Amino acid sequence: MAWYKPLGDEIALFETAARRNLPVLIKGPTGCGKTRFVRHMAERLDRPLITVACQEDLSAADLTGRYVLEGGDTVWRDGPLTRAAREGAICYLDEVVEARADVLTVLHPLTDDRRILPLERLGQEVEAQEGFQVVISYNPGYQSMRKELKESTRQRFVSLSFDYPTPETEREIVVHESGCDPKTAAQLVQLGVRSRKLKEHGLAEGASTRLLIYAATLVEAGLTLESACEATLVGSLTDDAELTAALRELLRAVLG
Amino acid sequence: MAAPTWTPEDEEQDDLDRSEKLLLERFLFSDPVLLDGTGRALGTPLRSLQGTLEPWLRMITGMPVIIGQADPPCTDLERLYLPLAAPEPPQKIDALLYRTLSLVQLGFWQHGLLDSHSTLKALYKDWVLRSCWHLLAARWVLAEYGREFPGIASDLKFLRDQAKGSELRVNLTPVPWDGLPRAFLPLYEGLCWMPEDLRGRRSTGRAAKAVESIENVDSATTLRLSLLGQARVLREEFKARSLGPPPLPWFLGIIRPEWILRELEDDAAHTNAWMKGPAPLQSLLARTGRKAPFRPEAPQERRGFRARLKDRLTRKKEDLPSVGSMPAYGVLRDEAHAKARQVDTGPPDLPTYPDDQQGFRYDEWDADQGCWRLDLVHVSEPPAPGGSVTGYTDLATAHAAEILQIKRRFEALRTEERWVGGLPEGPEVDIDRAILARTDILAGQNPDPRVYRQFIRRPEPLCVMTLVDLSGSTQGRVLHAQQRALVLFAEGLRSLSLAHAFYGFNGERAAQVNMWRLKDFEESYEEEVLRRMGNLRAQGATRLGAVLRHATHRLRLRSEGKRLLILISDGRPEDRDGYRGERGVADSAMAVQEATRAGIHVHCISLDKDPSAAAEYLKPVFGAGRFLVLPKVEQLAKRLPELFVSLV
Repeated sequence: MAWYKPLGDEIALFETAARRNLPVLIKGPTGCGKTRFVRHMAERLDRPLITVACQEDLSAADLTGRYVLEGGDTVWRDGPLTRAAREGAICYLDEVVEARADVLTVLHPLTDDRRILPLERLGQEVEAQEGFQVVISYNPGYQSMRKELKESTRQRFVSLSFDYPTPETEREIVVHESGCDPKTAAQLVQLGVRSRKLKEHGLAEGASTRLLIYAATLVEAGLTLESACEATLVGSLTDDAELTAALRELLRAVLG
Repeated sequence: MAAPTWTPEDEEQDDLDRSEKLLLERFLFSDPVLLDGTGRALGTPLRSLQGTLEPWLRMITGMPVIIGQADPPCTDLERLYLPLAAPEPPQKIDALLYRTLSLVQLGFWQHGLLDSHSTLKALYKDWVLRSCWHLLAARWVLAEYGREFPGIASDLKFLRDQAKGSELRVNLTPVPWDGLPRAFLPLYEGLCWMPEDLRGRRSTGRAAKAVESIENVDSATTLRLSLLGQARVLREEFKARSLGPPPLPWFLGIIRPEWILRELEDDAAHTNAWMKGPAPLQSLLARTGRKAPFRPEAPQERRGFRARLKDRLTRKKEDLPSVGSMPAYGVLRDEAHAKARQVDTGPPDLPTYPDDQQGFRYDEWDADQGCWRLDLVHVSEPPAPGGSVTGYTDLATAHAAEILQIKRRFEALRTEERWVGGLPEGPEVDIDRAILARTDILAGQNPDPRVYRQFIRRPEPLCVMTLVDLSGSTQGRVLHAQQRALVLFAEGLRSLSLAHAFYGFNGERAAQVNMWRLKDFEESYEEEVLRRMGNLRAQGATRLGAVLRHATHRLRLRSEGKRLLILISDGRPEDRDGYRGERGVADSAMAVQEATRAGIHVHCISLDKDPSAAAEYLKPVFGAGRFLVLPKVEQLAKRLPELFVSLV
């Protein structure tokens, strides 16, 4: 089972929502563990997981399915959403705000009590099987007028808000995921926590847990802590010269 | 309609404008003049390091660090004041010095050493006590940062080997190391540089014991309890030996919270209150028209320092109205109208308007009375008075390189350039759709005939309106920064084909809110527009709700699917006729709700001098993630185009 360290009562909430066939919306900053959580829950509930990485060109047909040519015949091929509905799987739409808002209206009949998916081309209505659940995630920190969830979509979901873990938990996560020693993890977490103080004061977001794990992984692979941090916690966070200098000074202060 | 308060430009006015700008730039906006009276250059200027220092301190201390300028360095628990320049000559070590003297002041603040009113009063009254306390407290604070950050520990160790920054001063007067009493020496050992011959001559007196005692303190709470006692012991020792105050190394700065001075003045005023005579006598004298022997002063409501500090530190976000708690504008508006018609329509001194008055009238939400004030605010939209065209062109020329960069960033937004499939006709076949059509035919269904594709350059269906705060409070650095940002942003937008407009806003009461037209959507960058845009003038107040409603009205008339409203402001929504505090915030929040319901994306850039306080009132107005607080107004020209790119 995918390892996941609970941060609160999110597991109980998700399990209850799954039992009651309620769709779930997970919001939280980049790299805080949203996708890992969904993987963990799918395995915990023993349900298949079908993940869709949303992007601007995603069409409704990409989700529901289309006819394709196979040999000389035309064959209907289910999209991930239809497949999940038929199989009773969890359909996870990652970074859902990247998809155009009108495409997401295809989710509406699946996320209320009807739990059906109309397929116009087939002239069918697919009834979602027991176990089917729609889970979407996005990062509310995006400040873009193009990346907003429609109110009519948002209000169909049970919301789980994620944030970065506490330093103790984050240290444990970094050690577990990278295999680094606790001291290195503690230094990296300290850097991560400090960099998050600049959120909305220069940085859109501070260093994510994922970025800390990357740094720790590089260290485990033999790089020095300084090089690993430079490549992850400095280079990946900003292009601004002054903030880069400040982050380097922070590295120096923490690492000595 | 408000008449412009400045005269139209002519040649003479052009010259005056230019001279004024040069003077302003020379005295207000240029880099700090780093010359002493004799013309010698001083050390590294603070401004060159400030951009890195502020975020570093924010990360290290987790505190909302705003840097002001003062010498000697100090803090008033709202800002950190640092000198304009380090001591000459400029060196690499200067950055370290700035970091260290910041940490001393922030450490006092962070560990609550300046929170006790009685302690600070005691320190203020006794110079010797203050210096002893300062030396002991700074030692502990720096050691504490060193314990948490190994890099800071090694920096401080390095600093101890450098004479620079360790010059001793009593107040602002330098004091030589020669002749320094031996009893003082332990206070400096391990804290700052000392001359070779003084090192190791460590006394075993009370100072050494006090230092040892402070070094063994393991928490800020214990330190707060023991620090004053240790300092008092030293004071008695030094007093008994007539030694005076131990001088302070330059990088330790001073303790000078301004509010302590004010508190002491208040104390003195209350102590002398008896001299004014009893209240009955004063009222009798007032009635008889005779002068009192002492001018009576109105009693002032005094709140204790502790209460005020507690208020500031514990002010909860819930105290401010949230958008969700306010009545909805949409469906409940008729009800609100009905209610509003039943109440008195406001203060009696409100002006009335002739029916043929040009302009626009808007309702305003009065949170104090919980009702809508119908047609209360009159908004006029005159063209902004022009000045010299060089106001714009000079700025554009001076910042040509930055403008080029902005244009390059905007290039990506210029048009939507891509293959568009699913067209009923076009130069190429859309293979995917053709296959789909073919499969539909083979499956016995009607195929979709849209099987062609075309490479298009489609203008973005987007329009953007930028509103610039021209209230009186922006006069000076903020207005200058806004002027520069406006020109740079406009030059960037010129390269795009999207519709955009610029308006300035200010006003005087509900009767006279001005939306100065700098550039309307339909106007091109002709000379008249450049004259308006290059000569911003500030006056009046900020009645934000009406301004937002008028901008919403203007944007509603646009046909573009996406409509963006960027607001640049430097403070709270406030006007003179009671439009302040919660009322201003609530009305503005309501206006933003209306704009959002109209499909307009509103984003605010705040140039408030107090970024932490700004976030508290901006969040209820604009919502989380819909505003950006810039601690330094100079960043506006850079951040405005960046924000625009990120939003669209």
